[in-house]
Amino acid sequence: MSEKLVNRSMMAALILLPWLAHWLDEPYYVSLATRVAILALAGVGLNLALGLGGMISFGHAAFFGLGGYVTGILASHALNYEPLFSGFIDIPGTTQMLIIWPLAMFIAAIAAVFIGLLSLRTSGVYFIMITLAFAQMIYYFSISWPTYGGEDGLPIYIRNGFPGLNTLQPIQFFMICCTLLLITLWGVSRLKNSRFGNALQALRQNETRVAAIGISPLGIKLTAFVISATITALAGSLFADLNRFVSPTMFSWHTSGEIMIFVILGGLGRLYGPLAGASLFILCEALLGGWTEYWQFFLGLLLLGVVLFARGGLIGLLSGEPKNA
Amino acid sequence: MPNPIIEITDLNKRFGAIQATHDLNLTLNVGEIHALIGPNGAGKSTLIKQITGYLQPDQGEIQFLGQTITQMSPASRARMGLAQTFQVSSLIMEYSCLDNVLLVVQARSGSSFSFFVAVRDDANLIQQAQDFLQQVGLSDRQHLRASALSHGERRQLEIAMALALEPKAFLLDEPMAGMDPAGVKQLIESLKTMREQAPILLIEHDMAAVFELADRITVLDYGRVIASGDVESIRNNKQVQVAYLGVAS
Repeated sequence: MSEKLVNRSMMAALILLPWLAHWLDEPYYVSLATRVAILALAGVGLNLALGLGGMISFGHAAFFGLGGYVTGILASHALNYEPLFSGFIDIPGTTQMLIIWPLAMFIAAIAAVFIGLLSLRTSGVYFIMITLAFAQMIYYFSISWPTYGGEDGLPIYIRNGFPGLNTLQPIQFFMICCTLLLITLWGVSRLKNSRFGNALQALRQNETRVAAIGISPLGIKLTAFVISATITALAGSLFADLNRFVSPTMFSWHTSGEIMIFVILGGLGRLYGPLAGASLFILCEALLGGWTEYWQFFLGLLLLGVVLFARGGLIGLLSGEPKNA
Repeated sequence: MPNPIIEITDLNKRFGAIQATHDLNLTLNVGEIHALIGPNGAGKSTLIKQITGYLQPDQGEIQFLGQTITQMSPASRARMGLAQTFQVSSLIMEYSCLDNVLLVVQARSGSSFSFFVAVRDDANLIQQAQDFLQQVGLSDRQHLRASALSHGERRQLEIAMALALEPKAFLLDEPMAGMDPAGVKQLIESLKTMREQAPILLIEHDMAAVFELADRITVLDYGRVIASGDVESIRNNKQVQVAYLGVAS
């Protein structure tokens, strides 16, 4: 099967199955598909840094969590009628997704510039450790900051709104998440084949050579890291709205690990890899999790199998080697 | 165009007890092939790395096109027009030959911060990349991955990438290493055309090739210049014969 066909079938399944569940009046499955779309989006973000750029970030939970907390904090201020900042003028919170998303992405971008500038001077194990350290710092900060719930997390009483839609209805919220995933996938596919993507993928393979022809590695890597962080932050924002709850767990290294598992299960650097990986993950959780509470043991076996025997992940198994690059 | 193209003054580099570069002065002039020879460990590669920016000298200055580049990053030096080939082929292994050269054409012909337009749809860039591949005789290999090339073909691809930079100077680190006699012969012809475009600083162990190509030869030993001059004077230099050409004194 060609990779295009695999991608299209997966996307068709993701769009059609929730509608089927909706008509059968099974909202649980709709929200399951929404989780797949959101986690896949987080994975698409990481895949840009990890799969295309070879930056093994073990701290993407930081951006996922920042997206979540920006959403939770803005919503809680708006719902409690407390201004976010008071002073010369009061800045209120908001429950509008269209305002929350760019803000969440912007905050994550600032964090990513900071983390990236410090961590991208290193590589290999040191890069992994520095990104992990930053995420853990934010994790412990969120636990010990009582204003926004500390360890207990922060509830969002009513899901944030989108003009013209009733976001509380599962299928409508699903369509929002799915559309954002589609748009992002389209954007990343363009980026992958652009001049920028060409340089980024070359950097993953041979940084010395790329520098020797006049492309500065740091600028390209930092930009990719920041774009990657903003995508994961958008997913974090949606995740907060899905659960109507944010907690420090979003920042924990388990979250970073899970996002990385989506990417590796699906196939490193493959455009639809994170969607395949997240689908498989959620399927395992839903099917095996109902049967045994040790379902992650089987997930571990699966991951082991992929790493040992199927380097191209699920997409690689179905469609073989990537065509170019 | 300023002359010399590259001017190195009083360069020093020390690794612990080893003085890898010792009060070294060197120039590369317009239009010449300047060969750099010396036994293993003489500091040739260390010198190249300081010129290209992968190593910082302890003391001394490097000028390129009349501008001091000692503190510049390797990428900035390449953008100024300093092209190099590596002693051990350094390619983008998962990319095809064409894509390797295309990346260089892309780097030279504008910013890499363009996110939406597919670079492989740019017929002009592709055409340029194909021209460079043709110059080194790799046209029929253009869609093959770099990892699938033979050793000699990889060396040729390195040359194509250096050419694609349209540089102001070439630094070639043992381009003939490991090539068969036919390949060496072809490469000698390539270098003769390359010198029309830009001067070449050539590190090479193949003495026949060096004597055929070079206008000037500089001999390094223990990090310092022990002799420098035209082909005849080096061939007849007693000190060089002892240190390098293996003639008993």
